[in-house]
Amino acid sequence: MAEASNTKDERKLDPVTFAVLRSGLTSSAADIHWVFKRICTLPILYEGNDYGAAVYDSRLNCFSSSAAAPLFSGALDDCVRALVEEIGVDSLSPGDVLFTSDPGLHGCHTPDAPFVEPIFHDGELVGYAALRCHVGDLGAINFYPTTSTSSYQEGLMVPPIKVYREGELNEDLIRLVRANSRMPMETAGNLMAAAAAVHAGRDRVLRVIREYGLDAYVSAVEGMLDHGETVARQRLADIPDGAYRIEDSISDDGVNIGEPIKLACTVTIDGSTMTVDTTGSAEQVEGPYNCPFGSTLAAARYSLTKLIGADAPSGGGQYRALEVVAPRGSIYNPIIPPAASWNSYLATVRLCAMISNALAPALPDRVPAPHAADYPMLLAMLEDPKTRRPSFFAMDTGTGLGGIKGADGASALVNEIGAGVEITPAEVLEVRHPVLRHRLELVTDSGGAGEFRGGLGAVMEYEFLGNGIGMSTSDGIAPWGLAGGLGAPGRDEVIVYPGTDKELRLGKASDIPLSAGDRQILITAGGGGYGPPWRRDVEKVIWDVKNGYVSRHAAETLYGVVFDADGELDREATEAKRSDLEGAALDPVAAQV
Amino acid sequence: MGQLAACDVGGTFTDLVVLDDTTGSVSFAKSPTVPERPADGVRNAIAKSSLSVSEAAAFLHGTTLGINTVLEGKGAKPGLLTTKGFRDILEIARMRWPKFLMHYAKPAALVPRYLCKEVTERLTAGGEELQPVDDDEVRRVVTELVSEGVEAIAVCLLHAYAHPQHETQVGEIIGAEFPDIAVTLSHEASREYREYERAVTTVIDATIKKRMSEYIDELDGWLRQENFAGGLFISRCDGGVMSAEAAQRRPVRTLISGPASGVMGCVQMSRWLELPNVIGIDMGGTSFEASVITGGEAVTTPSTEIHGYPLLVPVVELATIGAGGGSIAWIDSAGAMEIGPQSAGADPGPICYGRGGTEPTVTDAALVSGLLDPGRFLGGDMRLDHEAARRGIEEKIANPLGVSVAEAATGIFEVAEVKMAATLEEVTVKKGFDPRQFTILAYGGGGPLVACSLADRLSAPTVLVPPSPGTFSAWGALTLDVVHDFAATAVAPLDDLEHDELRNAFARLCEEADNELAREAVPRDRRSLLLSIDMRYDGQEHVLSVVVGDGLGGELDSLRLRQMFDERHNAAYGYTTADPIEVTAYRVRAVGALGKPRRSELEAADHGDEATPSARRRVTDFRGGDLRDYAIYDRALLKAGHRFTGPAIVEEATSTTVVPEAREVVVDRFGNLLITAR
Repeated sequence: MAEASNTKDERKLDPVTFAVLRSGLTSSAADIHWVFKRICTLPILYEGNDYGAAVYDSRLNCFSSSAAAPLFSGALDDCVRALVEEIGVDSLSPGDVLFTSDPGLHGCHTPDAPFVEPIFHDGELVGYAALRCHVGDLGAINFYPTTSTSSYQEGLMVPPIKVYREGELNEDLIRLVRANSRMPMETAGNLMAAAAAVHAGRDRVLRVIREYGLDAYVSAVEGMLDHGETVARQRLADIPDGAYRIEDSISDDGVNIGEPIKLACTVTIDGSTMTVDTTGSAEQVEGPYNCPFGSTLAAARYSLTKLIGADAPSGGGQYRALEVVAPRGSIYNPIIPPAASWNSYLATVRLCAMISNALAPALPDRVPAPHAADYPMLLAMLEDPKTRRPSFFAMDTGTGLGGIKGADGASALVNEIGAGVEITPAEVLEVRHPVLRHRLELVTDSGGAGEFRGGLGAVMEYEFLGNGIGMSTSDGIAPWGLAGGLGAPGRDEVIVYPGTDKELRLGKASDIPLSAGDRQILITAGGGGYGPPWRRDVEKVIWDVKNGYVSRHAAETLYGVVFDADGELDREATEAKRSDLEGAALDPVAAQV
Repeated sequence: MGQLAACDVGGTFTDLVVLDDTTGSVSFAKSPTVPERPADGVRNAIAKSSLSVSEAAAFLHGTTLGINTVLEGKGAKPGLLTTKGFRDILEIARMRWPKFLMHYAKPAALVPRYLCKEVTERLTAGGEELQPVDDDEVRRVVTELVSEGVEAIAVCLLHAYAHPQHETQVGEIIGAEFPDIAVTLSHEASREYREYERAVTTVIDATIKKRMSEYIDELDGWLRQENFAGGLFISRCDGGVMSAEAAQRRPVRTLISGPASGVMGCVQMSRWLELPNVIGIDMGGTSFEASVITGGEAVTTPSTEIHGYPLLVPVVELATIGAGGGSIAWIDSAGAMEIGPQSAGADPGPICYGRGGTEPTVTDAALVSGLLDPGRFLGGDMRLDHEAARRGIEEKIANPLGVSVAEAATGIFEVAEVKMAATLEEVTVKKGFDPRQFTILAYGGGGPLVACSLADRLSAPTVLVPPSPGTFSAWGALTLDVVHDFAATAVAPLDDLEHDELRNAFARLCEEADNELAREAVPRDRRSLLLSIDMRYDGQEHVLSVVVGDGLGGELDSLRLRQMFDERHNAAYGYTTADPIEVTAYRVRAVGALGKPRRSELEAADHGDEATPSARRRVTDFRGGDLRDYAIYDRALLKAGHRFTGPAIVEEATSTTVVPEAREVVVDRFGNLLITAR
């Protein structure tokens, strides 16, 4: 085993011991992830993966980060730091689990709260195991506000506090939370589950230290950070240098309806460093769509990992190759306490999409045409007519991905920041909640036409069986095409009370009154197309039509593939039509709807 | 009972193991698998073996034909019928994809969209009929499918797992109008909820039915021609076998049966040696697999995934990582060493095989460290090239890292061990099992090489190495019993369930189970039923399964069930709550015991209990690079009662056992090596 001493160079582990320790330490956050997944309550967690874990050394360098929701773990370090500072590092003891719901400290909306366990070895603080999860209902003005204008309306503010003190559960806190929650059992259950889960990360670290010694552990963590940084920089260096700028907008902030909010992002690749700068984006907004800086950082870090590849060593090392600039007081760095209940579902999703889309000119073979850049969901709080209990559910849905050079986009996948999430089966949903899913279908022609077609969007239709309130979160873009491909024809849509006199087509809304028998439909956009549609392989278009991915009409008008009255391919007409289309050279910008 | 034979058709080889029950001797034969005509491969293996078909009491058969049929698209052309609104269930799946990707290719849907049709009908979760089946529409869409050339139809309607009446109705219509079409109704394939997973399971069953059925008929016909008078049994993924007739009826249960035999071998050992808690580890050429046996039963899980497709059928739970002997050591772009996940597999295999492998592997590292004897690998059948392995490790790992070859070799081995230890923690610590209460049973060519070191890492007191670990899996196939699993999903608060309701829920399953065993002609005194119940705290999703006993005799009291669940939850996760508990499913495992191989006993040591090493070898110790003297024992010379201490290596034809200094070996009367901490 390598001897460790105080100077940095001598502390360096021999490469073999380093490889051994790295294998052990890398999975410590995954340990937290899997334990929590098995015991948490609420579908938004066990199906929706609305949590993330990370493990840090005593100086808050992240050396292991979990695979649940990257935005939950991506900037957990700032939040752990704030929590530890508030409580005081000298007041920490083995067996403590810290908690706060203060968004000013943890950088997300109120219920996305952190749990942190200091890790002690022989009385010495050697690291932290942390988990951030959507803990449940903390008594916000409604169960998931889209119209709140301050974080005081977004749930019980718990200052930094110990849920467990030296291994003893803080029963008073549990009682306080129960008393302030619409779902006391589930919320309190998650508090205990989270504490049990962080123990798993702690145990892994302690096993490594017991086996290899504290010095080796300290050196290994340092080595992991350096190693992660090296790999990240090598891969960034392969991207052509340049400042890649893109603009986008959100249709409104949920309060000032109809007033668009400007977003902007410049991604600069300078040698082996990447800078994400959101300068040019709007000032912080009144409604709950602000993105606390921690979430901005997490979105940029997520994008970095996506860019350099998930096979690169995860954790704090790679983040050293990234700089994030967001002017204070802007939507991406609001002054606390802003209303922020929807941060991670819109401004961050959009930032991730902007970073990819901005890099399309730099990486034409790797960046696909855009997707809807939205996180459409069905959310409702209903009273179960049988049990009389409140029933909260959040149901994700998927959009189509854009086509990419060489391949069609996939249909109906959960937005990238939720990747890993599974939608709940109708059979499970209907056992648990007073709701029926009537439809889950792909939408014909929803993918942008192209040599490589955009994936299809999906339609989901629900009927509510209890009374309550629902909400809508949709604010997607209409994906455009790349390299001569066409844009997708629509953006995400939410229809409440479809087919009735009171039918509503909504973007964002909360407090939508729902009665048993009411219905809601979510329709999602397909992805943008890549390459001119008239260049698409005719056999592929025939298959698309046979399977209803593309209508005959679209096959003819967009792809130039013409069928005769018997449904057989008309070769001559097809050739003629395709050369017309080639000549007309459809303007991809004009094709955006 | 004469001879007992078990035959496993794998991707590359068809393996046959034959037990002569009068002498207790076990022999093995191997022949290349014939992918187009698998029965030929079986016949070839039999021809090379000591099996006399006419004297065999039973022929147990595992096959990968089912899964290959699916993956190669060689099954019947499938069509799917779903509830109206859900035709895209296979293609949409669960909308899940991996993280951090710009682009993703979904696994292809098993049925193309134009062959997925909808039926107007709807039941609720409670079984209430919102919309009756439109019979005419069923006839119409099935006619359309048939005119498209569909040969097999899978029917998966919402909530049929609990309320099969609509599916049955649709099945009757198809059966009456199109008797030649193979049909599987989803509730026949699985009684679990989750429509996407059940639909996939149903489609697979429907599409492989014809081919499996023909294959089994062919094999059975041939065996009977050879005057076989015993029973033909087909292996299942849940660690049992079933009659040929049952396999033809429900072929989806035959998928991925291979790995279960080794685990069931562990179950048999656990019962014989009265070691209720066993961790089975199997290290082969390409992967490392771990399983858990508690209370003498294998842990099973109600679903699994294969090649990206979910299967909603119970399987023996196995944690697998790609850290076998063939796992490749490499240096990444930033100069750090990593092991796997790439593997050199069996072909070209490690460098030391001399078959063209150029990348250093875990086996190469074991050889260079001195753990393996180049001249005795596979009983001397294959001479390992020590020098080539050393050179490979030197060039690819040691030089770039600036360390000695010995350090590199031990390091490769140790990283592989850390990954294996993490896998063992996954199946024990993280599921609430304390490894200190477990014995590690090591098999496969590589299992005994790493077993003691893993036991030390997990603080497991004892390691058990059975005779001939390399053929233990094949032997395990001889121990299989007839098994049928029955389940009923029925979500309800535990507090609301009266004793009678619980009893009735199980009584229905027990009756079905008993009928199935009767149908399989299992005599009454050889039948047993194992009851378990899935529970969770209200609000949780994942369940813990609690065994409630054998048969209906046990007390089915909700208070007692609550107590059992709380105990399991507390053991697993360290807390309980006073919140309500929800029951989600009832399970019955019906077992029809088949004859077991006799245990052959080893001759006792006559001159004291001290074993004599056959040689000594210099081995590079871990983490130091120092050479140490290891005593080498020839397993063939060990007798019952022999004992010796580490550092030692036990060599035999199919495997090598490494015993570290701090452990002691005792040979028991059945020839097992029991290795305990000194």
